[in-house]
Amino acid sequence: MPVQRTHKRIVMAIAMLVLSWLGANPTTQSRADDDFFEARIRPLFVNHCLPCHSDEQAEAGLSLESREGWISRDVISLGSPDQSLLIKVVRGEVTDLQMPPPDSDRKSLTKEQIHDLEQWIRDGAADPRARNTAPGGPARRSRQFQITEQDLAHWAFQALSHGDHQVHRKSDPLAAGRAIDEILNQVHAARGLQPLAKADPRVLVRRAYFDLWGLPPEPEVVERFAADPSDAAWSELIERLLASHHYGERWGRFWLDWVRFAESNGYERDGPKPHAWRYRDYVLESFSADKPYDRFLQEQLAGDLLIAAEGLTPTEHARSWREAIIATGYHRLHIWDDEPDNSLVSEYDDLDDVLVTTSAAIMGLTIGCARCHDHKFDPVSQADYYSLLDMFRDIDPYGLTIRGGGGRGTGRIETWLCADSELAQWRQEWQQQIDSLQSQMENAPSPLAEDLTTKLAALKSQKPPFEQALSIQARSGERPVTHVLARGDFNSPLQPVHAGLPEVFVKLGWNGPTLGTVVEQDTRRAINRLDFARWLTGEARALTARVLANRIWLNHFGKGIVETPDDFGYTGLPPTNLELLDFLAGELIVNDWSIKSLHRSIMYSVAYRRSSSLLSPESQVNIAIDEDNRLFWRQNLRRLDAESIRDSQLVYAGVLHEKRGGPSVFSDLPSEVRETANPISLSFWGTSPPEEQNSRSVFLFVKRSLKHPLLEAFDFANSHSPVGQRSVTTVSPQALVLLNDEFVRQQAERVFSRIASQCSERDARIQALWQLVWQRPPSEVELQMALQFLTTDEDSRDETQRWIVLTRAVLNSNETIYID
Amino acid sequence: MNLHDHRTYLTTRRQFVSTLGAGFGSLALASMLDANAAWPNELRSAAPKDDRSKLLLNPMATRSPMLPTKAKACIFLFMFGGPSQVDLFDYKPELQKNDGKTIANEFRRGAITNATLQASRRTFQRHGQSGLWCSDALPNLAKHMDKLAVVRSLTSDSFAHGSALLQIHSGRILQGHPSLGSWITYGLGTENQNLPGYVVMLDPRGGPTSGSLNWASGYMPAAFQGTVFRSEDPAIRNLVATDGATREETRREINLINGLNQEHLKQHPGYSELEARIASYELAYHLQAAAPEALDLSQESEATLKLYGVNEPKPDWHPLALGPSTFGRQCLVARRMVERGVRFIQIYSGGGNAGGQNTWDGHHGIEENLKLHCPEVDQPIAALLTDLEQRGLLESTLIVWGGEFGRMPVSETFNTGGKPGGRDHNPKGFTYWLAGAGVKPGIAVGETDEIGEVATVDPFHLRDLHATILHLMGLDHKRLTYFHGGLDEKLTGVLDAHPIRQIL
Repeated sequence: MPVQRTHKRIVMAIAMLVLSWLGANPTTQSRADDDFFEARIRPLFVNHCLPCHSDEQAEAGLSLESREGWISRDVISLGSPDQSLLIKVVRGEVTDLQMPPPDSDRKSLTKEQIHDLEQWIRDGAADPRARNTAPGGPARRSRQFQITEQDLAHWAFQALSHGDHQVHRKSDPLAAGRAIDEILNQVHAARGLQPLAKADPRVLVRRAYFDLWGLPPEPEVVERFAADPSDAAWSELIERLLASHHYGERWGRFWLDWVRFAESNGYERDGPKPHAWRYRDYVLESFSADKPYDRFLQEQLAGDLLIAAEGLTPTEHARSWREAIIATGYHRLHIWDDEPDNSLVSEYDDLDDVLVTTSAAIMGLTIGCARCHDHKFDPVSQADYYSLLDMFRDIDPYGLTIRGGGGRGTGRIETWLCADSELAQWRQEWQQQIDSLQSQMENAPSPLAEDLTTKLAALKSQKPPFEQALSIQARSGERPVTHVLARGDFNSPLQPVHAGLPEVFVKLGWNGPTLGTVVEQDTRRAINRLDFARWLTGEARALTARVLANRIWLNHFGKGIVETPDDFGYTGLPPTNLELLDFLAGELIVNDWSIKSLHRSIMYSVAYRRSSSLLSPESQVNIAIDEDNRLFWRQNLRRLDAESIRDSQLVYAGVLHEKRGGPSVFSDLPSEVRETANPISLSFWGTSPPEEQNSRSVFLFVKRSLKHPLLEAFDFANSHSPVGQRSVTTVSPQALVLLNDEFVRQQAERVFSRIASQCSERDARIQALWQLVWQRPPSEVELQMALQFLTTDEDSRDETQRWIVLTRAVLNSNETIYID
Repeated sequence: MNLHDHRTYLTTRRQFVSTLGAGFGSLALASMLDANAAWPNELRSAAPKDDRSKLLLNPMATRSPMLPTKAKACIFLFMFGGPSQVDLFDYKPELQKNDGKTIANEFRRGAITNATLQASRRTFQRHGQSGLWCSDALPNLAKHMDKLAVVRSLTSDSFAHGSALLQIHSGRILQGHPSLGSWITYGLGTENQNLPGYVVMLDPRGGPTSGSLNWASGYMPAAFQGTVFRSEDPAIRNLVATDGATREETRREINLINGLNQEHLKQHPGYSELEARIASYELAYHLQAAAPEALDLSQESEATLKLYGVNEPKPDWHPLALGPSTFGRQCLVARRMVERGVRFIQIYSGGGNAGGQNTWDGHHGIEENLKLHCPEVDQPIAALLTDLEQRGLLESTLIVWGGEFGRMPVSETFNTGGKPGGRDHNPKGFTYWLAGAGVKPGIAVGETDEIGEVATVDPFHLRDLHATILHLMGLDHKRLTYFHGGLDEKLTGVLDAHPIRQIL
């Protein structure tokens, strides 16, 4: 008997290994097993077993509430139902141990139920409940925090592996595109995948437009490229798209997602963040200008220190000086409670928000987990967390620190965008005018004095005639000492820390001699925000470049090489092709952090230009090997994001407003939306000129508690935490929006008027509609469908009305909403 | 539904959704076929043959609970502003005796002032066999005390409306986390695909503090956020076309879209998200009929309407007074939604800016506040309990009553310029009650101190209440997790939380 048990354990151990492998490599099969569990086994457990065998009430020590429960009592023999005690007792094969007990009020299991249990065990007893702690998930760290060899060997922390594809082809995107294809071809060949052919030229133009601009192509451009789909024409197209401000309007928005941009504070009043739109413009313009990513990071994290380090002045370096100030608005984008329960605690909440965003967006790390305890999976200790947090404490907090109730104001979060001397001069002249008025008033007779009083009041309320930016200011008063806080509790300070890098990077040797100042008897050097920003693209460039390259790739394919773009730690997924990721990261570095160069490299590859169609016979083979296309043997069919859906309708309607920046546009919200908001929060909603209502979505005001309904319906970024990839949901409220919203009806009407003004024959109009929206002629079936809809006797609406409905149907259809 | 494991295919929000997307077409079709006889034939053939794919469905597809439960639905009656426990359920003889006495009172975190004890002007009495206390402010509800489990010792973490509302709704005083209804629909889906699974009904006086953040899905997909049901047309935003299309015309329009989409599908086989999107138009079409039907009270008997006070006239003694008709109508609609398989329904009493008598935020006179709001909810809630019980639905419906905090036993001076008679916020000891769905009836647990200010005996944190609600709905708060930002996030967070055993 003991021998048999041991044997069983070994079998179990092997089975667990197999399972853990399945867990780490999700396959269709394991999914189907989980589904079977959910459909058949879980309900059976819940209804028939858990009343007596739960964690809480585990009769005979058996709980069937989790996988661990039945493993620990050894009641299932994986793969062998006949050997499993569980099956024996439900079959009634064990004397005095029938389940459910015959004397209870629970019915015995039906034949089908027993059959299901048998099948489940035969297939390996997939049980997704609490597999988090089972092998296959990330391993929990030991309680005593220490950096291990495994940490130092983690893939994301290694130098870039260039292998046979050395990055030395600076500014040769054609060669880089070929290199991408070579890397992918090797993997495809090794896995027996047959990558799909290049897509139709019409598809490619549409893909390139939506990818780089988020807007549909003009029909003429599609026709031209269809006639000459040469590499030269492709290159010309990409260059034209990259050169436009529309490029920044799309790709800048991605950055805004990653740093959870919004223009309001959140909470009860959800008040506006002053001048936040300048930060948005800065981001859009930086992308349009292909600002090197290293500079982009330095300006945002440490623009103030950069000004000092480089001696930038508002007069001699007006543009760089301005950008460096506006960029620091980055630190002010966080959620802010203007009436916190405790304003001392909430300063830490604000800092946490900045730190979590910075680490996720730029470093791909989930450092926020270490606020209350050492990270359970990644090599980040609580001391690391507070060291990084301390780095952000050299600036004035966002909110005034007060105890007790009532709302509180903001600290110094705005900066005048002019030279100090200009401001001082204006203030001096202003004060002189006030003084002179006041002295006049002393001697003036009463009617004149009244007049002067009014004048004085007007003068006093005058503001300096200079622009302002949402920004940071050096901390006034003494910089507080940061302590590690036990369990993240403000009232339980432990040891003090100074601003420094996480220990793992020190151990990796990324803490070079140029970085920060040496602190005695400490492995970490004291760093400031500028040191840190430079370090990101210096010693830490392999990680930083991988994170960014993955984000760029992801938005060209709808899927990352690392499928968890904000998490390159143990809890994220490993890259599906590290060599490819490293090649792209290397491209960024060798091209001086030019993002546009990386677009070219990717878009010149054949990989980018492949078809997404599963019609071809090789697709079936490929699907059997790599159903989820994690190895990029085709392009992905992708749903347009919220902004592209809205913006392209404005393009079709011919009314897209040419706004390129400036204060954000307040949408005219319908009353059903306004009434769900709290009045005080709604009081901060403004009005914008009617013509600006048709601006691109990136210019619409982002209020945390009141999202634009159409954008929100189509999965707009949540604006609370970094979003590396928006979810794509398919739910009926989206259909209701596109069918019934006044905005869509208006655009449909405009599209139709455009077409009607061009031609009058039905056939010609249908042709024009198809060309405008889909850049292709209708098929015979589609033509007949449209004609029948327009001419049917069943509909009492007049033909104009039917035309508008037909147009709306086209705007609603999958071909409009998805790109191939 | 493998909601509880991030490593297999819940790795990211995106992946979760794409996984759902992968099966939505087949699933959506499969699960909706049962419910919708009107499903077009050409789509029927697309239904899956393999049972196993049935589980991968739309986000709202029904999922079985983790724990044994009778509960199918939850109705959360939310008293926005913070109802006064010492005037309603938490009877304190010592407070009554010491009216006018001065005590030191922490009225905001760390801010202490001398304040005057203010006895309740209400009369308290024991009710029913259980002998639970209830004041004369809620005479109808008092008759149902034997059905309630009253928790008199709740605590939470914030004195301020904004963060306190976020905590009761999402477990955190920090913004950006999914709300209770999101967690429940994430865990269980819903029973009727033709109606939203998570419905919110607002007070006509306005949205609560922070508005939609209270029913937001935070870092979960937007599919899990609450849908606001309005009391006038359209019930849901965009439910009907602005161009006044008839039902037949909408059908024809959807048929046309289906036709175009079918042509597109022929060129794009193998992408189930395209089928899912086709299915979503059918769902939308059904929703257009199902939503007004759920709101159509003409199907209810005269006796039922009377029971809920639906036709009671608006009182004229106070410009803010509504009487029971609004909340009564919403409670009745909630019952109809429960019958139709909606999973989570939240009704707000009180709306608009906090601080005024338009909410339960009785700074400016607690007596006037009670006189305004108690009659608005008293008869409707009593009717709901009666009605659900008569229809045999109470045992499968969880009712939760409470606000974002309670109120102080002292007379307010902080917010009123010294004018007495009001009560300020109190997160240190307040009352919730639950009923139905396996809740132990006729029991009170926990106590506040002798003046009703601070929970002292068996104090429970809001996260214990959340764990209790989840438990009653068949969900284990420790295992209902959503992977986000490197953490398996839970409604109850990282600190210890336990279901309140005494009332289960």
